[in-house]
Amino acid sequence: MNNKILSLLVCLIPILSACQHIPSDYKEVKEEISIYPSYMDVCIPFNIAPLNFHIQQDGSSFVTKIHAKNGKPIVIKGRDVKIPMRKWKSLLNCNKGEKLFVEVYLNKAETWYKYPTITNEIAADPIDPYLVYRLLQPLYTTYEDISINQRSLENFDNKILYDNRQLSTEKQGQCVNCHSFQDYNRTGKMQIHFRGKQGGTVFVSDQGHQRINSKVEGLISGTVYPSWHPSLNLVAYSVNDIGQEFHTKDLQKTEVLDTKSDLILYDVETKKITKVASDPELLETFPYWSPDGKYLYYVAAKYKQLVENIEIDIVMQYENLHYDLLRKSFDPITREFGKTDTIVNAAAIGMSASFPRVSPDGRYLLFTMGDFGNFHIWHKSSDLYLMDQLTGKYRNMKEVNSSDVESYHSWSSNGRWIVFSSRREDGSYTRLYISYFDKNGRAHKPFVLPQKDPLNNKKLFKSYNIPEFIVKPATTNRHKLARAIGRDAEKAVL
Amino acid sequence: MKAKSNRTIPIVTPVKSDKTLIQWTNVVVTILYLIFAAFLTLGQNKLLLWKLQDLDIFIFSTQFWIDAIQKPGGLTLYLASFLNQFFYFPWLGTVIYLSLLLLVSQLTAQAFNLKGKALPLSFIPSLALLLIVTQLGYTIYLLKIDGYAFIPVLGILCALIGFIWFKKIKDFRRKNFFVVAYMLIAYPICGAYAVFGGLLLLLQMLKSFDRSKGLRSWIPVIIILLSVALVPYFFFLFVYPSIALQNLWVLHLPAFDVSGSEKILWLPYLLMLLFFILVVLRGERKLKSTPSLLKKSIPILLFLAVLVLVQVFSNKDKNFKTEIAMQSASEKSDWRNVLHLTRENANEPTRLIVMYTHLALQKLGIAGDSMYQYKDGNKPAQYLKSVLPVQMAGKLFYYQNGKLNYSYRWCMEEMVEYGMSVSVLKQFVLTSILNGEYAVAQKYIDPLKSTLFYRSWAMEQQKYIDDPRKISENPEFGNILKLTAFGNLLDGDNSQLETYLSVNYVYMEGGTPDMVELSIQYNLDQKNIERFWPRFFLYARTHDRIPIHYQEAALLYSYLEKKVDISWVRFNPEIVNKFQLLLSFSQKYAGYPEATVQKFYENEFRGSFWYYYFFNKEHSYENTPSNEQ
Repeated sequence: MNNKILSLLVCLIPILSACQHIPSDYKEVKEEISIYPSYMDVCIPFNIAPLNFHIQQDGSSFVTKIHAKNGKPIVIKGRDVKIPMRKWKSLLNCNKGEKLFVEVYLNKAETWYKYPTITNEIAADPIDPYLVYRLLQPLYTTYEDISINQRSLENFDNKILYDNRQLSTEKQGQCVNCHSFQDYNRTGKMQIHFRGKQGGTVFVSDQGHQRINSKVEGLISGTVYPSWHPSLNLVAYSVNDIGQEFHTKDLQKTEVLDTKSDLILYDVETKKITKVASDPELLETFPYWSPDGKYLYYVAAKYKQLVENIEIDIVMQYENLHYDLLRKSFDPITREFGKTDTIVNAAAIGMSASFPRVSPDGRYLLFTMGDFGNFHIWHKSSDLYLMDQLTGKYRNMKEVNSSDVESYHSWSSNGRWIVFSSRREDGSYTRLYISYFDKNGRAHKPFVLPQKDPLNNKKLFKSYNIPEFIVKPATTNRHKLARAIGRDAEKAVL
Repeated sequence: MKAKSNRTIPIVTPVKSDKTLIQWTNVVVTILYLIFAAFLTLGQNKLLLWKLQDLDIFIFSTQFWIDAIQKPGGLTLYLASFLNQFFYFPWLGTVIYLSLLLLVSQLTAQAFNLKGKALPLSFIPSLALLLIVTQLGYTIYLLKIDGYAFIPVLGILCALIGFIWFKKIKDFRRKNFFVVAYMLIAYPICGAYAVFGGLLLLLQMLKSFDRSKGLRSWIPVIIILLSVALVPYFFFLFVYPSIALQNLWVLHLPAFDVSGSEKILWLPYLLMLLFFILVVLRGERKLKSTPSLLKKSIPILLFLAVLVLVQVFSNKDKNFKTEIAMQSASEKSDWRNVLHLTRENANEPTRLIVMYTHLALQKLGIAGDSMYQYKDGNKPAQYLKSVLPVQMAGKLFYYQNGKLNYSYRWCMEEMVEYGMSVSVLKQFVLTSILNGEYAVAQKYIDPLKSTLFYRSWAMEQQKYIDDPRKISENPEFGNILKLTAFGNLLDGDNSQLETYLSVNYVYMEGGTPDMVELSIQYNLDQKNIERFWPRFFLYARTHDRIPIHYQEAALLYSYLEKKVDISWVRFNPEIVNKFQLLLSFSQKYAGYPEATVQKFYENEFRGSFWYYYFFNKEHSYENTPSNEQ
């Protein structure tokens, strides 16, 4: 018996070792290898999950060697290059700040070909370990299957924080949206909206879960787009009367429009709402706190109703709605707002700004600009822009933008990484891209969020939405949230 | 353990001649069942079966397997979708379906010892399963469950296999272990049917419940109850993130309403439940005397009663079936067949049938000559729960009318709410190709390439994605692209398909000759004189021949308004003569009640625009009162 096992092992050793061998006899090809996703010339964090990819060129067999200055090279056979987690971690950990090389060999008609080596950089700056996003189909009016997911960026673990089908039935659908954490979840506080059945906002903290009904008389709507104050128990919200219309011809297909919108501040402890900005001739929305908590950034557009029916009026004027980027000063001690400054006068250049996000060091302001409106996920003209607040100058971030939509974005807690959503792959399904933001204020070529199955993005018929970095896992789960939603809501007061 | 139930059906050991008679009776019953099932499926509901696979999809890929298996009860969903795809050829799917129904009967007989004269009873669950499909009707468009036809079949098989296995176990401890193992294995496989299987085991236990054994006799009952209650909860807590707590024990059952018209769709489920409860609790004892003929005939009478019930409650709406057939023919651009179907349909048509007919006439270029020769109507759709035409056919009509964004939108609305299907993916591909969105067209075509029956269709479309120049070589694409010469507008259809298309073309400005012609037709339909004239004149100036209905309208409108000069228009003398006859009719029957004269006009002018103008009342599909209660 033992002899048999030994013979088997003797036979297997050359087979196994052959699997790991890179071809010694090959022809060099000058053209670039085509891989999906295109992980080429990118800068990656040393703690990122393996950048698995698929070789798109035809061939009968494939060998890929991944190596760097230090550590053991990784050799993988096959068209789908699925990199072993432990070897990848080990290689990246001992090569912080170094280059990462990827060599692809392809066999075609009994001849091996070697393609030009792909060179990527390994940044010494880590990325936050988790990303929380909403996963949903690029839907219009119906909704069925929506989840809030917490993805580990260091591996492929994905935890569903909430799936809207947990409490909904066929008749009473539930839409889950707009999650927001306080200070990258360092404080363990988050909030999440639910609409439809058992609608309301759930506040999560170490003390438990609290369901709030924020539909208060005197406000346009319940609370919509949130931003937690980085240190105080305050959340700034927009309140919006949102509508949706459809383009008959334009490939942007739909337009999400506010007919009214204001800003409010919600005190989580007292449940008290105070109005922040409610100019009847301005549509104010998308609030965002500066990291020091002394400014509230937001966007606002001038709007004057011209005809009696506001739905018709807004459709007539939608291309003229240009949102400027503004900020209000805030005193965290007195909790009072001060003067308002216009940071980007987008309307003056015929553009429209949205989603202001300030870097953790407070220096850079990242935002999107498109031709009009604020809901830029449907605007192909939408690009990421960066303002250096030291100089007040801003620029189009051509190094990360594409010809299609770039929209919702977030800074990592160390300010060295940005994640943003883009429809560059097929024009319809939003994917998440990560870009290194160096000390000189330049972003590097972005790479798509790595997946265990390299073809996942092609097979997935859902969009990623509202990506937010967090430094520790959310202090809730689907059961706790479901229980909280099932409880009676406490009423906010104005 | 001995049966102690008092609820018994007397069973007598038959003598030899009785045995032969029973055997022959059972052969006849089996043949009757098979003929009836084949009649009800292939004979009556062939198109419904085809539509079942059209609204579902099975993809041969690892991802599809992973996606399915991650869902609660995923294996059944996967298998059901796999089997469902064979309805592409309705005969093939039916053979598979009926084979499984026979297996259900066979296992029912085995599980509950239905032999001899009791054998006809074993067909009752199969008949109920058949009714689950044949009573559907318009509800087919609202199904959110994959492999709808096969899920209950596989589920019942799962429950029966568990029951048979359980009965074979004699050892007390093993029985208890089996119950827990069964629930743990069966629940993720077949959801509610595992719960149902567990309840059957409970009934079986209760049937042989022996109080004299004290606590020991309660143990298996408690174990079953706990397994049925807690195993689904275990999966809720630790495995499946997307189950609603209240749905845990009814997973895989359809979400039909329990009140209103839709509650009738629960009938087959109730029938099965009742049957299985009674058949488990039924006892067997030998009688000394021979039972009466009536008692002997009870199983066969019950079988026949259920058979009649299935026939009575099966959907017989001809318009519904015609709509599906028209949709299938339209997707193949078989416009002649669409017209054939409309001629074959003896009923008053629904608006959707009228729309399909007009679409076919437009595509064949004969609408201007014959659109009023086909039956018009506004018969309310016989649905149990409201389904809008835009949900059923919006994506196709918008596509065929060049409203590509709206076609895409309704594809998305459908996919979001009812899941991915062959129907929606095919339309996504076509719409995206014509919209020039090749990357996303590729995304939608890839899954179709991994299907059994739509691969060749997908490969055919792939060439347009690979080389968009070929689009112009395809005449069908060309005809649709001719209808896309309009500017962008931000609006919405308010889910009103016919109204939106009609208003859009009635008020259209400019456009290609094809669009102008459509605009004329929609203006005729709306009897809009003011908007008819400019389009008519444009048409008359640019075409040698003017279609019959346009001439009829021009003559009538000119006569009514007496302000438009049509002397330069080349009218067909026959139409002019006919118009003179119309005028003489109007003088002859002036002052008569409309209902009286309509018959005279009908004999002479039916099929003309004039008859439509005077006698066709205003209609709006969307405003039609529904049959929903």
